[in-house]
Amino acid sequence: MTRVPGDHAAKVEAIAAAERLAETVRRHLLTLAQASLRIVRGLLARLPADEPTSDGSHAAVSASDMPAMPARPAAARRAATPAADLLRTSGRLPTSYGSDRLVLLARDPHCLYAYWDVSRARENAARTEAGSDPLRLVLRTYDVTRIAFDAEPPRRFQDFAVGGDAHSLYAYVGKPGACFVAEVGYLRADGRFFPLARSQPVWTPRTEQPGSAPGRWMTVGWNERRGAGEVVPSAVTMGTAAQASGTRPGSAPAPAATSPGGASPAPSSWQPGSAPGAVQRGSWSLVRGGLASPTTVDSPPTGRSDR
Amino acid sequence: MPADPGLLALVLQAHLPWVRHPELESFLEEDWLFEAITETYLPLLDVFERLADDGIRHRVTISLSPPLLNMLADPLLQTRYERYLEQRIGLADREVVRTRHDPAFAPLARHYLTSFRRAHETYVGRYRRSLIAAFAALAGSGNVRLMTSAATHGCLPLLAVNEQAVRMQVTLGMHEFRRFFGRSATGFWLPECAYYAGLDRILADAGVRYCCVDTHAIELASSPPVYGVHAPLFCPSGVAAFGRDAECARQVWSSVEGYPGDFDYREFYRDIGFDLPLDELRPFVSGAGARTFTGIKYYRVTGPGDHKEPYNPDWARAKAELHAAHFVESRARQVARLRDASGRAPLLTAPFDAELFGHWWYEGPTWLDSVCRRVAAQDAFRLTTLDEYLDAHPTHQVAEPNTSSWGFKGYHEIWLSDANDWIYGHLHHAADRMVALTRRHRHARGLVKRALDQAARELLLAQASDWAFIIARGTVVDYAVRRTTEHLERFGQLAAEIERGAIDEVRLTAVEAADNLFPTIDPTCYA
Repeated sequence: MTRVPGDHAAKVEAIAAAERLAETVRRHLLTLAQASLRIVRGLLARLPADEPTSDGSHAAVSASDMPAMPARPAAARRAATPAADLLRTSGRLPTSYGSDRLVLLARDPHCLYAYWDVSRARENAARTEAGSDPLRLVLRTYDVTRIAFDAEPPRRFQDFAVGGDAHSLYAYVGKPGACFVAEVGYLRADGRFFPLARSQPVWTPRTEQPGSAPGRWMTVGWNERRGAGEVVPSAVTMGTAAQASGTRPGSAPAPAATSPGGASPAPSSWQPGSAPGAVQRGSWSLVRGGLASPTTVDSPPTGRSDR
Repeated sequence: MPADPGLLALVLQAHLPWVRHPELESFLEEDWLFEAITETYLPLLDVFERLADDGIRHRVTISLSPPLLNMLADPLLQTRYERYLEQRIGLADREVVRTRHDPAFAPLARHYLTSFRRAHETYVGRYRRSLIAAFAALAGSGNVRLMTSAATHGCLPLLAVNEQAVRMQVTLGMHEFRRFFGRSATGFWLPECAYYAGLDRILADAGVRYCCVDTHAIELASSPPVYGVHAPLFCPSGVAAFGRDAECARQVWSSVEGYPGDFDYREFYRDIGFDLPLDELRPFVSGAGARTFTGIKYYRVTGPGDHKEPYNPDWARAKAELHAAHFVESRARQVARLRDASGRAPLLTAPFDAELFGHWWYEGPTWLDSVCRRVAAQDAFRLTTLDEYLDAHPTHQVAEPNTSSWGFKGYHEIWLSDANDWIYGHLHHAADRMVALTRRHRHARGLVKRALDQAARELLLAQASDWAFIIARGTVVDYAVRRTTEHLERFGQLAAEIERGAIDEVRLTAVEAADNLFPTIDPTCYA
């Protein structure tokens, strides 16, 4: 009951000893917590002075007589609190979750990132099935933009060799605006493939305009509800460009656009050209909406001679 | 000429990752928040309040991210910010004495002393520590419209493997706005301007009216955009997507010809925190012995090299005015050009990181003030908010924006690269585990509910795109790696305890006290 951290700290000098003590204390408190919530609350009340937090709970944030924490990167270090000890983590994450899973992410229009987590049991099962011939681990990508990937994989695919013990790979599929599914698996010398896991489908971003028809137009009305201050959509109507054109001044969407393919294109002078890049500046390196590519905007006055 | 010859929508998105470390008496990374309050949030509030006081019509849309709102409302961080300001006042006081015989630096030292004292007076005396109330009051005037963002600034396309993970980021972002402002948000700032096909459905389900996307999201939409980026598109769900105008963006952001790099502006990187002997600084800065930015900077950009000349506030102010005039004139020409080509009033959407103004670009708030005054004084175009625009223009073309972001090369390469790709396997696994846990404990009460709530908070904190960004840029990598693993580990511990039915209440209490954002979180959103 009396083994709260502060009571013992004065007797403990070595940091390692303090850590062991804290672990003992935590285990002890956990046992008590399981035995009786009421008793644990009594214990918690003995922890050093609290400071209110924004959600009304109380955090043990005051200075304590516990030894200081070992060095932590990029952090200013002064007296640690008992909370600091309870908050310590190992800095290590599992290398595998044994999920037998392959995930695809589209990094950009041309490149997919694939990572997989395959259990030893799954690997062994596939190896057994494949027999004793030498096997190569590959990532096989299928373009399924216009086909369904059901039980039978599509006949066309791209293989990417997996190096060493890698569990991830950047696959340069080079096909914007397409849908891909991938499998990771063993490739036998005779060309037979033994999949270990299959991914979800993923689309690469487009790099070109997919069509020429401006398609539908829509009116979305929102009404501010007095009192509650809630804003809700009040009406959604759909129509073609021709139907909508009466509500807009100007001639841009041609009246001919009553069906897909019939519209005049937007004036080209409206389309700023190059795709943006980014330049990051700022002390926290968190300012990121920047642009790097030179452009045709009006140059700002440099004013080198204005004083 | 039409009633509206053209419109400019300035959008400022304010965000910082959750940096709160009660476990230590002071923590260097908390300075990120304190610097942003001092250099950006207080000056911006000052600009918009003065414009309102002077009767200048202006319009700006401001996104306040949920982690930022939670930090601004946190009593511990509020207390620590006051301590930060007191330290800065002490340092500036000493600088006034130290530089008293230096004709170039002495007026600057006095300027910083006045600025810090004024910040203290405004923060403590005027706002009573509540910047959220100050922003809410601004929004009440009609000149400023607030919008929300994702719960912890997750890069949503990279979380979309698990749809519930995205739904939670969106739903909780809306919930937090309602909690702080007492009404629903209509606008939703997409972290990193990152959109993927299908995201609009999740936004619509959460009650979002509009979002912002990058230029090529509109240009490469599923149907050719008749008005380019100069009118929003309605996504198939009816959510409006406003595309960033590249000309506005480049004029301010470009590393080549952008305004902030002008030689007369204050040089960010020359700070006495790095120039003076450490012993002289130690009593006045957070942390134990680490060099850091103090906010006291005596030099101007001067030129591309290392040689720096003293900062001259008069020159800098004059240049900010010159650049504001140039920006307004450029927009007037752009609007005229676009209107001539289409016969329609164009909308220029110009989103920026709020922290650019004041923190990185010291003269940014002056520039913004001047832009608003100059726009009000001419009739070539007007300022608008995104809500105001949609109220007046409810009919738009329907198309699905292209998957994209506003990062390097326009896609996800910054947040998904050799340096940081290891994060995603853990994030995706944790999200799946969170969904399974929530389904199993849908009606949890008491300790299990508390553990589920905290597990959700830890997962959300690990999902912040800030960590991947910092790791990719190679700046404070140790800290970003630590934060990612720390939250994932805490999530893993809590998940295992819930699964085992043996929750360590003592540790849970400590974790709840440290990561105490989202007090009314509802994890059933994951179910």
